[in-house]
Amino acid sequence: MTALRPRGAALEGTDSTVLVRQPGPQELHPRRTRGRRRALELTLAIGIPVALVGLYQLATSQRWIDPRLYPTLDEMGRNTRDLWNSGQLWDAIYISCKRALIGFLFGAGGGAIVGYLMGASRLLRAALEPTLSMLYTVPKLALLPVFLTIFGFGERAIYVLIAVTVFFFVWISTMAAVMSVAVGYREAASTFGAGRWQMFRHVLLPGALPQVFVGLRIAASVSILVLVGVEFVIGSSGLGYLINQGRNLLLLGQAYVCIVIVAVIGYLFMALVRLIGRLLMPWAPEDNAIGPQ
Amino acid sequence: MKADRLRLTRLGGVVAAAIAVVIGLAACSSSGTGGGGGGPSASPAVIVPVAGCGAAAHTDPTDRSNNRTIARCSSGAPAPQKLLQPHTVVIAGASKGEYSAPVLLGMAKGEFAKENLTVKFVQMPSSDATVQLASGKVDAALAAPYVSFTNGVASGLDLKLTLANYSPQYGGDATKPQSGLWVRRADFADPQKPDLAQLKGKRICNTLGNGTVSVYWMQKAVQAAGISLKDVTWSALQPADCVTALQQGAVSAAYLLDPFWTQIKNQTDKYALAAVQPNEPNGAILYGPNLLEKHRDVGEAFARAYIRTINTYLGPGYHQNATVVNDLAQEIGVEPSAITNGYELKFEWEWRSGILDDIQKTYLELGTQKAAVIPEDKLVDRSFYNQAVGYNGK
Amino acid sequence: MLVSTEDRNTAGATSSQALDGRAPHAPVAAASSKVSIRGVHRRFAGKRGADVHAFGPVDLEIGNGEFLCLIGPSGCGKSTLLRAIAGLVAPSEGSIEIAVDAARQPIAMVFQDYGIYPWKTVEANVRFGLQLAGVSRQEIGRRVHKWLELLRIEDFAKAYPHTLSGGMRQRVAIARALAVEPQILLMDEPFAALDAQLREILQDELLALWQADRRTVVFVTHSLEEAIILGDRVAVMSSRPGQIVEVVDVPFERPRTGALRNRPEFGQLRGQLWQLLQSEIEPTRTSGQGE
Repeated sequence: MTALRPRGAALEGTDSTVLVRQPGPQELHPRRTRGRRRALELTLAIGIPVALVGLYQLATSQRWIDPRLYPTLDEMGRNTRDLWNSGQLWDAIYISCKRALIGFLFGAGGGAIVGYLMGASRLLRAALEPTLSMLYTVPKLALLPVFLTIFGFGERAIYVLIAVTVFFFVWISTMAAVMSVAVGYREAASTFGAGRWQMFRHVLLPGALPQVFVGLRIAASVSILVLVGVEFVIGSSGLGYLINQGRNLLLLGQAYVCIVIVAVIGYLFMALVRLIGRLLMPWAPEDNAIGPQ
Repeated sequence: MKADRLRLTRLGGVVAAAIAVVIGLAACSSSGTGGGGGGPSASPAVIVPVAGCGAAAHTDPTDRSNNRTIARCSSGAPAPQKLLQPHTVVIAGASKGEYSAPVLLGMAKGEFAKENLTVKFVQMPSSDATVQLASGKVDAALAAPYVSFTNGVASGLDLKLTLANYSPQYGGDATKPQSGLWVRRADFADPQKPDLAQLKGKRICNTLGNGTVSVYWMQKAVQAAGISLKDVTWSALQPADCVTALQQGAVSAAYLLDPFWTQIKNQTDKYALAAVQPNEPNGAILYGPNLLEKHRDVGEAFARAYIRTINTYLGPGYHQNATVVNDLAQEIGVEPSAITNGYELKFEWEWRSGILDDIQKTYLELGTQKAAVIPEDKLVDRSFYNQAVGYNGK
Repeated sequence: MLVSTEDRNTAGATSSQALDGRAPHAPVAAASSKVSIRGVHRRFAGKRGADVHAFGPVDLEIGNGEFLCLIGPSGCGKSTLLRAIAGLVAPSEGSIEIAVDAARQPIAMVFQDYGIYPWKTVEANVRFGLQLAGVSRQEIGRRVHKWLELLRIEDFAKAYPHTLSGGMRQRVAIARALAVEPQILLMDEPFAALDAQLREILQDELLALWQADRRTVVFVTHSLEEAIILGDRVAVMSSRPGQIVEVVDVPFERPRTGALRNRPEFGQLRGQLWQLLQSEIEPTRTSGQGE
């Protein structure tokens, strides 16, 4: 808080103004200022998405955009109700979630194990990294026909595809996390005579865990993305199928509603992973790097 | 600091007020349903006879028999009538195949150029084509009356079916191996005589799911056996994957397109052809508002060139015409032998009456169409081809 | 007054190495020499392919129960030498012999940073070394409790390190190292990251702790005062490649307290050490004083 009070005639080279440091509103009324700021932040955080939705509703009802191609909110509401009543919506949500979860668990489990092993062993790293890096860049969706042939056209192929995609994300971030465990931690354990397993259990595993969870959060949203893509191609059930069908049947309300539902599910999934991370790591500081609070 | 704080609070207030206004307006405004558009288009005022197109250029649209005659004019008819201004017509198609010949060959042979038209062929999935067509981003589509078309018209989109595409060479004849609904003999109680009623609860594979036109004749086939297509599960896969799925037993039946059915045509011990497209066109040219209303003359010119291409190059026996085959092969990017190895397509421009009722009834049964059956005059506009061949309704 | 004599407790001779590279006076290895460092060099591959000569040749005998401080300019290799004793790096030449009683924990080390584990509570950290050594659950409980008390952190047993200040964290590090009751305690500038007042407090505490059981300690530091107040002897290293310039006896009797800092002899010794060190830091300014 500054105020300039010029004092007297300005003489050359003299200090004719006085800088004043005084308490400002933050110091005088700390609670009120904090409260106001928080209220403002909350208003904006909620208000902006609500405003966008309201703007959309305005645009469709006022015909700024063609409501036949961009359904109004009540039409989308009607579509949702119809989908729910016919049982299609719940079935689709259930099966999509199930696929994403199973694929994620297998992929993340495998990726974490390989990541830890490769992070801890220089030899393994040198041996496997080039191969795995090459495989990483192959778009898995392009491999879908191969998977279908190998695993058949049932759920297994879908689980495998999601698991494989998630695997690469988790593997890379876990390996990087283990390698970045500060060498000082490892040295401390060495001086106490830690063997390989003890080093892993006491140092590498917990030390890498925060960054591993960042990778897991990304992988969670990736699994949803891949799932929807897969359900587009193998169209018989799931939210991706409903979205695609909405497109094909020109029931755009259905397509948009399901897209929103997919987004919500993705958000919840990431939040769940984050929550589990918080429970497992009471020592880690709050980090809002990616994902919800 | 104090000034900053005040400014921030004021900003916050303004933002909150703006949000409230927008929400209020949105809540108060009524959401109207789609309306407008989609009546029968204005017919041309005068129909003059066209040289080269006589009585044979028109047939009774209610005739859907297997041995009906197809409308024809002489080669080179109807003659071009060059537009005063050059125009570009953007037409969307799902792929480039033999069926696209009236458009692609017409482009290659300059038939559209003779009308002062430039045609641009853009590839996109059929579901997107309907939306693009309705919003005027493309002018026409080489597609079919999918359920997206009927749902779209029901919701007020300005679309019409104006020209037909082709009928299969052996339409309605399931004894001839061809594109159609193939089944796995092994999945039936009596593999020698598969009873379609046993498809109940089993899986059918096709590419476009249950919103595609072919469902109406597949439905007729299974209804004759006593079940409905509602009783089967649909698997939508790419055409090549449908063949694999059928071979692996992942599905019991598959609608196989050209040329994918040729992979199993010699294994009649394992697979049987259960149902085929009848002797009537399922595919068609759809016009959007640009060609229906805004530039009707362009729509007429396009129709003329399309019909002329059929009459000149794609009449019966066109597979023996090396020039046509080579040109077409080049346009669609395959070897000429790929064309001659298959059956000739019976190209025609007239749409049969009653098909759309059958199609829509099936859509309604399958639950893919939401509105009631739309009468044909709201879906089809025969005036373009009638005028092109000089048929005045008598 | 530089005193290079026989060490009080051992028969091992100190070695002094002149800067002009004369061969060292070979020490007589005494039976009670805890750590014998002989002719040790450490080199490693540098960035542009040339070898970096971190330190060497170094000869040093450290007696059983001795508190030896190691000082020297930055980059002289004293930390590396400590790590070589710890076994974290191996010497490129020469050998280090450490006489230990196999039944007891040989070595424990306290680092300047990254010592204790943020994912373990204070108690779990202190327990760590004992767990690795396979000590019985009961004994672990007893020792942890004892050392938490001695380092005055028992109230924070269930806390995580990120809630503690730097000084508290170093206490935890020291507790962890002492809990295993090592025969040799290595400390690598453990108080360097702390403020001056806290540093003195911890020095006094360490002094008290050590004087209670007199284990062998090798203590690396930059601070001359710290070296003098804590150590029995102070070894001064030259700049890179580090060699032992001089090993200076600290003549003050034990038990010592922090009050020692105020005595004039303390300041004199400090001045002498500073002269030695200064000539290492700015070799162009030596003018033949001392060795």
